[in-house]
Amino acid sequence: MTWRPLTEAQLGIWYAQARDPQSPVLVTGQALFIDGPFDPQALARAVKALGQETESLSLRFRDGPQGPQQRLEPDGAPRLVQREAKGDIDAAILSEAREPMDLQTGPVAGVTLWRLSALRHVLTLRIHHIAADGQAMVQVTRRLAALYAAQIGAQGPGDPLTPFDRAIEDEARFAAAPARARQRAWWHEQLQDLPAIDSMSRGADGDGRWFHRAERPLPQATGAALEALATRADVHWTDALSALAGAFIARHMPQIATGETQEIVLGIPLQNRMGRVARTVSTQVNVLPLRLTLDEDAPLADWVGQVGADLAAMRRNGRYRGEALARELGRIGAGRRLWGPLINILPFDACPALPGCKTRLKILGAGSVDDLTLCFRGDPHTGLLAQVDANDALYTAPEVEALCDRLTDFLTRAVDAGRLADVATLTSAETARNIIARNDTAHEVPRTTLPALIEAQMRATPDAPALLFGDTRLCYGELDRQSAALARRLAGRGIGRGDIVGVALPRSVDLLIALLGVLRAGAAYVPLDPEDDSARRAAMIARAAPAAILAAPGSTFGAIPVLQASSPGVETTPQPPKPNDPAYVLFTSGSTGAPKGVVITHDAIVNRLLWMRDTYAIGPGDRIMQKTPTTFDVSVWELFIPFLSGATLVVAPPGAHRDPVALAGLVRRQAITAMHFVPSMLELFLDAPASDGLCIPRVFASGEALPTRLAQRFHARIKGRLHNLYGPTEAAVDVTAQEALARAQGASIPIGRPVWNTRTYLLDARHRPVADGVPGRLFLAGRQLAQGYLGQPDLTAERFLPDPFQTGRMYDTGDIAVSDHQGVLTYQGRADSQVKIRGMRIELGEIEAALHATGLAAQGAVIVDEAHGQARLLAYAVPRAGADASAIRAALADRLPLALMPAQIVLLRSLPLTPSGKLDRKALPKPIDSTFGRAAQSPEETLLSGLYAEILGLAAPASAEIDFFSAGGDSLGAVRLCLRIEEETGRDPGLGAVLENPVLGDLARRLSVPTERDDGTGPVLHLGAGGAPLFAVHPAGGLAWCYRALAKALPGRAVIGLQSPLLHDSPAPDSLTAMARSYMDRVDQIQPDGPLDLLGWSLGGIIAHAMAAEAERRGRRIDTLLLLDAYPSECWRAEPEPDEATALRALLAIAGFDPEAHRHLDTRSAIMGFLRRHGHPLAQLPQAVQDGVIRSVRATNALVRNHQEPHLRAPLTHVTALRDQAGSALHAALWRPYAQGVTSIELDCHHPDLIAPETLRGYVSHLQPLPTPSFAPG
Amino acid sequence: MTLTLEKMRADVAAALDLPVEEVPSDEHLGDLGLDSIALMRLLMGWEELQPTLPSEKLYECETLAAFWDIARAAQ
Repeated sequence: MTWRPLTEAQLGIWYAQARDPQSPVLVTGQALFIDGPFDPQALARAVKALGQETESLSLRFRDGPQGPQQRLEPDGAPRLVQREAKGDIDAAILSEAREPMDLQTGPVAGVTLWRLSALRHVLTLRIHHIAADGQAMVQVTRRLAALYAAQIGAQGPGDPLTPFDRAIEDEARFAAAPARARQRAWWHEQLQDLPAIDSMSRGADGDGRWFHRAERPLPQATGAALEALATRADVHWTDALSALAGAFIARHMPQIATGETQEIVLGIPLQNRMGRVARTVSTQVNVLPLRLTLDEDAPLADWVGQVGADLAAMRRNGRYRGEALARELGRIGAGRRLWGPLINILPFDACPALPGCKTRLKILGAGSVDDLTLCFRGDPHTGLLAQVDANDALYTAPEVEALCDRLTDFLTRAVDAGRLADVATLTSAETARNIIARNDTAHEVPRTTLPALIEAQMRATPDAPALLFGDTRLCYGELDRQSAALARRLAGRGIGRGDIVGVALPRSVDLLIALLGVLRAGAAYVPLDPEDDSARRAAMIARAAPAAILAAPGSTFGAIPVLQASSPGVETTPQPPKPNDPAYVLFTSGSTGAPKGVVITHDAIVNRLLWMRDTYAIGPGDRIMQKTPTTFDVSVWELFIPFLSGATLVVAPPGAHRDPVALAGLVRRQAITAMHFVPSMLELFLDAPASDGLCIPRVFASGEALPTRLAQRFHARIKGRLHNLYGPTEAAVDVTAQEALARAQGASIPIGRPVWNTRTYLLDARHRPVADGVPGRLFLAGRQLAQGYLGQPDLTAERFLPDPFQTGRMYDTGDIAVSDHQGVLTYQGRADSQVKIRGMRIELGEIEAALHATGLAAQGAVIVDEAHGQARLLAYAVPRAGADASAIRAALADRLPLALMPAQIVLLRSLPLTPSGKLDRKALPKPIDSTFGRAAQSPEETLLSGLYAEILGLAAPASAEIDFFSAGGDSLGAVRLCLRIEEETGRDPGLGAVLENPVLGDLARRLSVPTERDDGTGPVLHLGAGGAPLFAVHPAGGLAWCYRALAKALPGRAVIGLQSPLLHDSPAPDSLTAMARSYMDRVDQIQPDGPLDLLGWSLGGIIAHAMAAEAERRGRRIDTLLLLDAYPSECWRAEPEPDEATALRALLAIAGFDPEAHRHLDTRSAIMGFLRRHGHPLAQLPQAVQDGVIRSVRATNALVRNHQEPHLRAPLTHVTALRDQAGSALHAALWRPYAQGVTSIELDCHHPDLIAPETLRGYVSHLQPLPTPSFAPG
Repeated sequence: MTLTLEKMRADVAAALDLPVEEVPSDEHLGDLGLDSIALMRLLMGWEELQPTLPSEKLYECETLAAFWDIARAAQ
């Protein structure tokens, strides 16, 4: 039997399986429950006959130089396995269904008969998706039933299924058909502006090894109504069902729920079984993308008719393979799917009949679930079954059950609806839970005012300390007297209820007297920044029209009277405010730029303050810091909660809120028990050594999303509890809260649940509640809502809407949040500033979390730069010691999909902050202009200048001086650069050329010299130009690419990598000494005289030592011999030589991955698939070179075991990777017998880290070109 | 009414949402967008017109011409 290539459909499955060979998810499976007299022997004969006539069951596969191949193995079909069912049969069947299949050794199918009793059996049938699709499975089952019936003499055997060749023939036929070009063009036209594909899941992209399934029958009446709808729409019911199921999926898509788009991309499997393959056991099904555009207002039948027409158009082009489209459109790999959830309608009855028995079929395997599949079986007459299958890496089982309930409920309502707009997403039970039960926050709070509560406290504890500012202390009695006196003087001026008084004072005792005096006079205060003299402040004053302004002596505000807290004047008894009177007016930024004055009543703020006092048990003895400027709403609780609780207010000096050291000192000296931070400021505070070990019982964070890793840092440094609060100025400071625990997960800490007498709603763009896990717009209702915007009734009406669920109003925050299954909310960003890159929604917080997770950045921020009409991501990092941009980039690449990788990483000393302590994104500097420097001149430079700009995403052609990697290029970019150069010039320069010449001008020079393609695997690899040569010998794998970071750290040296000839199928040398001799021949050519510098990492160290000995034999002097965690051959003699599998796994180590962390990758195609997905250039290596690496690992190891080290006259320097070798038998002193002295450097790192940029700083000074001084200065 | 090639062509064109002239006799119907669900529906209609139609033989046909050959032979 000959080996043949795979069909396009099979290739897709082959690669999917190669990604995770141990996964059973690509095996289709089903169980047939058989009740009645059954003959197992007849079945065994029927299975044998089936195997003989059904070729595909004998398929075997292999991976070869031309790619994967297949053949039919004689007698390779499975035989019937008979098993006794013990215990739980369902569990036994599931356990069998989850056994992976090996495509190389086979078999690719399995048939088991489980005996439950004489009259009860279960027949399980499993076929790998590479050999059969769902419809083929149905045919195999029916055929097996027919053969069984023939065996027991019930009927003739009938016709066998048709040969596997027909699948290959049909593919060849279509490849040559004129229809192919037409269909291909149609798809490219359809998909030219295809957006990035969203998942319904909030989970990470990932390959699941199994799936969750939930299934529910649809009511009979729903089936009938579906047919009626299909008739009205003039489509088949299957298309009507696809349309409605698509509308249901759309309700769960983030961008639809938030109203950003009306389009989703579904995957539609087409059976592709017309003609000669109608009865061939093969995988034919073809999944293609359907761009579904919603029109919720159109009459439903019209919209369904439109979707039906789109589906018909798709079927007319349905022979072109989805795999080919994905490849042509570059839609391969994580985060770059060609379609989202699948809708699969299977109206055929798959359950076969067996003579004399009753049968029932259960489908077990799905044959791959990338994300989510909605499957419908049966038909409207016999009954429809809805099935939800979901990737178990992305969804939980309860989520899938809830989704299935919601699906059936949605369809039941949608089939009768006039238009989609009228159909709710949630079931009524879900609506009741999300809108009513989760908002059951009713709590008794007295209808009162701030001054009433504060006066009661002042009278209760007149001698208790109320206020501390520097050396000034005020007791409650004194505070009472001074603020009452001011209130009486304000009243004496006729200021009282209904008035607004400006307060333009810095933090001081007078500030507190002024605020309390205004409130006690019955007026509302409006804080004004005393330092601000801008037009913005003038606009606020004009809007608020204050009756007076309390400010420092000498201040002027036009015609408005300016007073001091202690100004003498006529005194009158003021009239206290009522609960519904305004307490304060705070100005916030409006989207038009004009500040908006938010009016908050006493009733609203009293609710907020009493909730906080109760929830966090604030009382006498507490010392609360006031550091937030009064123009920000956080200051409101800082200022007043102490006076409602009998606690002491500690006022930070002006300016201290921006000084972590001053704050830490104040916390320590004043024994602060509660304080607030904006997360950006908390970050700086935790960075300050002075904050370490502080005890602050309650810390409150709000104002920005609180990253989880920041909460974790908090707990590592500070003794106390951290609480995350959320709320807009329009709802009395905060409306939700959640404690941030040290063990918290996810990118950011949730904002939690609503506070007392407050409701939160997550709604879609049409104000319908969204499902848990789906982002929605956050609306607020309840007691804390502001009265509105001062003097702006239209704006107030626009943002404060009638509550659709109860009486009252709801405020549109403009924030996007998502709820988990317990109703805990997480903030996701602003609705009006959604960040999108190439149509894909980006969570900047996610990238920032990844940046911090690298451990290389002390602080970081990510922004979208849209300066040149094209959006790109820029990352800003304050690097930790030793980290640089390329190290950060490399570490990020391990954590982020390509689509989320920043275009550039900009290093800063510190991040800029706004006056309120939030990150000032606008003040982040734009990165260095990559067009700086000499402009491109030669034709080669001009070409590269455009290509660099294209691949690096530069706004203008790159200058001739730009370094590809420093400007943000990575290894994948380098591969793309090579491809583009080849497209433009017809010559592939080879990756090696880019690695060696990343500077544009150098690469252009290289291109202008016609040379052989250099794939970076030649015997000599130039890693840095200029200066004295330093020879770096390859480790076991034969490649010297690993020394690139070292070369970069030694700009003054020509680092020359020596690579193994075994990479190119040369015969292995007889001994390591012979190898060293031939390497020295190369060295002699490159550097004919002068002392030599050599180094080697790992086994490369042994070779470097042998080369040094050979050099001495040739009369040359060794200046430096540096061995990186290398140990003499005697250490390895007793170790087993690496086998093929171990050598293969060395590829992972060479690529910079820890083989131990990826134990499941144990075949070549799995490893290559993994590297391809990570965009690693190793995956681009020709097969022959991959073979060479494996050959090199094995041969070099064999040579080492037969090597005996000679003695050197020169000394050597050895670097030990302590984390791996500490406590082992391996140490530098083992080299003593073989050199004239050993200098040992010990670094706290692992063996692979030694060549990483951050680690090699530990020894790079030993490689500097000039003789290093014997002692380091300073 | 009896089953004719033109009746078959008209039915196939309607099922594919295509004008009749875009359904030539010798084009692969799968390439034009016909699937097994649509074919089953067509066969049910044709069997009513021509009860002698051996519809199981039509499943592996690829063109209208092939359909018609079988239908005509059974008339």
